[in-house]
Amino acid sequence: MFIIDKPLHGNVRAQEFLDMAMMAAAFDQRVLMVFEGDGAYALLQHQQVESAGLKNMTPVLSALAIYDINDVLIERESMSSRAINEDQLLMPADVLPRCEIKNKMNAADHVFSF
Amino acid sequence: MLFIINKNSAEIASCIAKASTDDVVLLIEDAVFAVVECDASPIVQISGSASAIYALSADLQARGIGEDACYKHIKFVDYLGFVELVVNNNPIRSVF
Amino acid sequence: MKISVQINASPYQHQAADTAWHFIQAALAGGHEIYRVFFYHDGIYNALRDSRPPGDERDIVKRWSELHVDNNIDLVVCISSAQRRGLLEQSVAKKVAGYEKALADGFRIAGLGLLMEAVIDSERHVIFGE
Repeated sequence: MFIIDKPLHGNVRAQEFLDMAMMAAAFDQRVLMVFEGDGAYALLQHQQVESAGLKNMTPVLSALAIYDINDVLIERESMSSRAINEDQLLMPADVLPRCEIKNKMNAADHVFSF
Repeated sequence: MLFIINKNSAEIASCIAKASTDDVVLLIEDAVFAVVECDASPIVQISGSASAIYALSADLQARGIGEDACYKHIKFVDYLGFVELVVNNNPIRSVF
Repeated sequence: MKISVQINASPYQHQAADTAWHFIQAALAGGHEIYRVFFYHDGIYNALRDSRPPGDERDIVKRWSELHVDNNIDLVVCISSAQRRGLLEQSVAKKVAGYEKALADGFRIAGLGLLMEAVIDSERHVIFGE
């Protein structure tokens, strides 16, 4: 399980973190990509990253399926406390309550965060 | 599972809230400030947490905090104890 | 038990490299195997040969090199993290005029695949960062 609980842009760590997730998928590992906390903002549409002169990471998110990463989860509580609606998301994601994500976490072999 | 937390922030409370009875929370580095029994501690908001909370003794000592200043339900481990927690719990989530 | 360690933070700037080092010492003392230490993100700065801390301070880079010599522990620096931050792998470094070998003894530069291999082959993977 790979947890993005921080914003996507602002430093290079999220970008390098996604590299890790894609490498895990390349090693035939089942990757669960989880967005929670401020990481929920990473899935918002209309991020005009270039205006801050940063590399836009949203195309990488949209392309996760190409790397066989099909389990994209977002925590319901993180969305509601940040006034994020499902129709604002840039890609399809399973909206799951915290307890269900925690259950999946318990079952994971490894949990990665950054 | 084992949560390893290294900052004294509200994140500690949310991790402890998330943790189930089988889970273990280990506080290291600046997170050890959280176990000081005081109003500023993020642990103060949590009553009757079921999971075990550990603090790394070396980091407490480095910050001048005696065990008598800490919440009574906190357990203390040295680095060998840290390794034992890693050996006995999986998966491990490092929270940054 | 076979344990792998990942370090995501630069030395001195953050305690992560110190905690990781103490953790590894304790794991070895407890009879466990440290399969690999993988340096990622700003963790690659742990491998800078020319780090020269003041004489009364711990020498974090040297400590890693000694860990490799004393315990034969595989110290791997991520190639993409390293190149982005100006630490070049030897074969690339040779092509850059005036660029000396920057990697400290005991470290090697390799791809993320070695991280995944370590994660899959180890029973535990512990991440230290900031």
